[in-house]
Amino acid sequence: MRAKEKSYYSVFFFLLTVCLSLFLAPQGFPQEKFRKSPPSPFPLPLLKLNPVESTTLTNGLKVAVFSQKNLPLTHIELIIMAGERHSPDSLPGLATMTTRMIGRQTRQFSQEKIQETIESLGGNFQAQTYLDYSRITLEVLAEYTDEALALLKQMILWPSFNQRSFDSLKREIYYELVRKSVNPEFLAKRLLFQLLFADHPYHKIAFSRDDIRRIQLKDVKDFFTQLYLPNNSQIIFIGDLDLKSAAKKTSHAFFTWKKQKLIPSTVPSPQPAVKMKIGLIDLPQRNDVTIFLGNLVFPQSWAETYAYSVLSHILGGTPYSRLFLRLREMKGYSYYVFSEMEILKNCALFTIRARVRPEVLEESLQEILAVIREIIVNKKIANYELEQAKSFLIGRLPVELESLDNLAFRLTSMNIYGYGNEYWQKYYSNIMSLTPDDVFQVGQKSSLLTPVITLTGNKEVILQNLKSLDIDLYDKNGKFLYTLRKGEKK
Amino acid sequence: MKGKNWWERSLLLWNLLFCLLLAARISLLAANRFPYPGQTHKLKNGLTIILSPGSYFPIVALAVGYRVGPLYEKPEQAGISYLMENLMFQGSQNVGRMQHIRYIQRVGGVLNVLTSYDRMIFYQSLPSHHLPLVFWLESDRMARLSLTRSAIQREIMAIVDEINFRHSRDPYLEYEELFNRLLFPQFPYYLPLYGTKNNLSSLSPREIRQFYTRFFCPRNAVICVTGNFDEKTTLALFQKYFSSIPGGSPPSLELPSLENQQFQKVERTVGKETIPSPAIFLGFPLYTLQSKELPVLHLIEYILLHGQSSRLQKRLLVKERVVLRLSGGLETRGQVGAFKFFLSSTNATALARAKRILWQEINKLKSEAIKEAELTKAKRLYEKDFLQNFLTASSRAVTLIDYFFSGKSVTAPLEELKKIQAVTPSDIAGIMNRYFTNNYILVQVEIK
Repeated sequence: MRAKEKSYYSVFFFLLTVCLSLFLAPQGFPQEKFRKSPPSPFPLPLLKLNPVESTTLTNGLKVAVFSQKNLPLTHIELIIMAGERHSPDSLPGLATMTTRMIGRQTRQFSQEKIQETIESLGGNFQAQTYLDYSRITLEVLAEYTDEALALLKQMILWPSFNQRSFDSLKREIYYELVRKSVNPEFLAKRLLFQLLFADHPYHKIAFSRDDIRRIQLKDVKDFFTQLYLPNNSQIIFIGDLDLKSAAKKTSHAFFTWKKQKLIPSTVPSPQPAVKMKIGLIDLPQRNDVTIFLGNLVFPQSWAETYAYSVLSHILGGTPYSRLFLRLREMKGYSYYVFSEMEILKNCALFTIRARVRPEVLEESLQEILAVIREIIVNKKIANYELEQAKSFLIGRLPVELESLDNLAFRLTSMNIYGYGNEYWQKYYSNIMSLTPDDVFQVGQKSSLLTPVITLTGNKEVILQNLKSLDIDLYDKNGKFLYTLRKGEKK
Repeated sequence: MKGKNWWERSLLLWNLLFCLLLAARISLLAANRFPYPGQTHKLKNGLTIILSPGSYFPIVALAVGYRVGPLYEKPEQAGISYLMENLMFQGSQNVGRMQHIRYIQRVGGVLNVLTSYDRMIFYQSLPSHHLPLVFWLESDRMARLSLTRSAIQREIMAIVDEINFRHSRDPYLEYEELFNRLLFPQFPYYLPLYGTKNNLSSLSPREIRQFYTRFFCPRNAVICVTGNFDEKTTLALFQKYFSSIPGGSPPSLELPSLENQQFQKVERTVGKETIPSPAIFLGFPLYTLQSKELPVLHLIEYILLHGQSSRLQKRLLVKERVVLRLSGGLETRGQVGAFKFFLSSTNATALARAKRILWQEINKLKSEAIKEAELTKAKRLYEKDFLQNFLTASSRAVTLIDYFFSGKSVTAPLEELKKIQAVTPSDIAGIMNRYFTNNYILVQVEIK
């Protein structure tokens, strides 16, 4: 009898437990234990990427291939070492004008015909200029690689620099600059380049509408003749082809492109800002302030470059970084705040960009500098922060490389700045071996606490809220106007 | 004799076995080549799985598609789908508010959501060794989304702000909404993708929870995994994280038929002082759209609008330079659709000229057979865009789910490309004459 009672009780309690758990479970079914916390990842797989193979043709044109089996498209990049730093001092913007003339017209083809030919190869075309080089990109269906190279040959070997195309391009770039003249980020970044690289050829990237007006067709032709040479260029392929076939195709298309003597060009090492400086461009219609804050850093090895990457990530790489959490989430000063690092020849540019409320401009600047000070002067980063940064940097690389355009950009940088194939192979191990000391040391070596700061926004409001610093005023073309001493009004 | 027969038979068997193995190997190789076709599986709770292994890089993408969107909404619930899309990032039982985004970004991944009128696809791409993380995150919000009163109120306010912001940024938006109401006169076809604020504040948390339970359940979902992963392990993850979630009973899509809708040409002139430049919206309704007509309509998009050498871009933007903005194309909403054009010009004279050119080009494509070379160009541009959809793991995952929802083959996606290749000049003329008729909607926006 007792045994029977006991079994009734156990059935009753079992049913009660089931009913209670069903009732208490939010969506009407019980939750398994494993759902309570994130699962562990699988072991980190190796980043096994094909090496970039390269060769140099007899005319000096370097051919590099990143082979990807079964890729149905071919991505072709022609890199010419004719960046904005190569523009003559009197003609900033010339490198950009020259690159953008490519593909406008050739001796055989009108612009319309070129465009039609590209699209009939299932392709697209871009021509862009950076600080150190220019980049002409053609991406087509893989079966039309030869046709794409034939078209590229037309553009490079037989361009037709006629006055009509030139005038039309000049108008186009001029109006692009007019449109950008209300863009606070564009203006602040351009002024930052202008001030940081004041005595260095890189300052020419900050060209203005007046500079564009000065450029003549003859200047473009001369620049092209001097620098668009096979021995000053390289061609990079991404696609289902090997080096042998890429070299054969390139040689077939470009064997008449003649090697010529190059005027040697060296890049002087730029100097970092050693004293804080503030530049302002007045945008009276804005009710916020855009801040660009930056300085040059000089990594001496890959280990140091990666340490700077970690530093940048922890400072402001994501919405969960220190700057974002402090300025936006905790203080409510900014709409956004991020940091970035861009590798250049002989240096790297470290920038922080933010958009803040004008009434807390001074506090925002102080807070940004305080966060930098904490990380490079006061205290080494915590181990967990370092591990999170490593996890991000290791994870983001393959995700980024999946896009052909990103991959091409990375390959170009590898070639131009001499990363070498070990860049891929050692990427994970180089990141993994970083310690909080490494990050602290590069931070201490840097001049991030004496940055150049550029601001765009309503001058009157900015001056009311930034009384403790001298401010240099510039117009939208980057022309210096006057200096306002601490708290002075004009 | 007996021995020879045995020998011959066994040779035959071995040959047969060899051929079978070879065929299996060939099909395996084909499956692991671009565009990496998908294989479908189904869990007992009705969840559909698509696996498409293959990637050059050590990454994976996981996309979750739900059959939900404005076309599933009731009049008194208009805007609820967009609200749900926002709420899907506001936390679930084990994942805090906005933490889904943070978990993915922290490991270097990227994520987004793609919404259309009848589907919502959440997707993320991340390093392959973090695949279990995304299973944990997506299963948690499918099983137990946090639909607290405060989260709902916060998101409703955010959407109202967002809609107001959209209107303040885009001076043509209110006219586009009017254009859609004229083009799709019946509810719910005219609803905007980004929701509507009118009914949001009257939605009760109970209604929202019911909507979530009905639509965001395994039986109404498709999950696609693409990239570098092991199939067996991944199927085990599906079993672990998704099989215990109740399948649910999603409603089927019941839409009013527009087939017998009386449609007449409408021309409306609207405007106000703050319009930056005059513009027109022109639309042709496609109420009797058949799936076999879609490839032809896609090619018409390329011939008229896509690419710098397309007819309208060439004439309006390059040669005559009479427009500031040109956009448009095919838009489908369930079984119906529309072909739309939008043009804006610096002044009324230029716009009138642009409008004339637009009609000239439409009529030309109706009356003159397109040349093979031009059609081939359009097909190759389409092919490139098609291939791009399969190039990255995340775009492939989204495309395969989209194919599944649209009844296209996920196991042989190249079949879709073949349909495009088969289009002839007479198909183009046929569709142009069938749909680009005098039954159109024109909304002219003027500076008043």
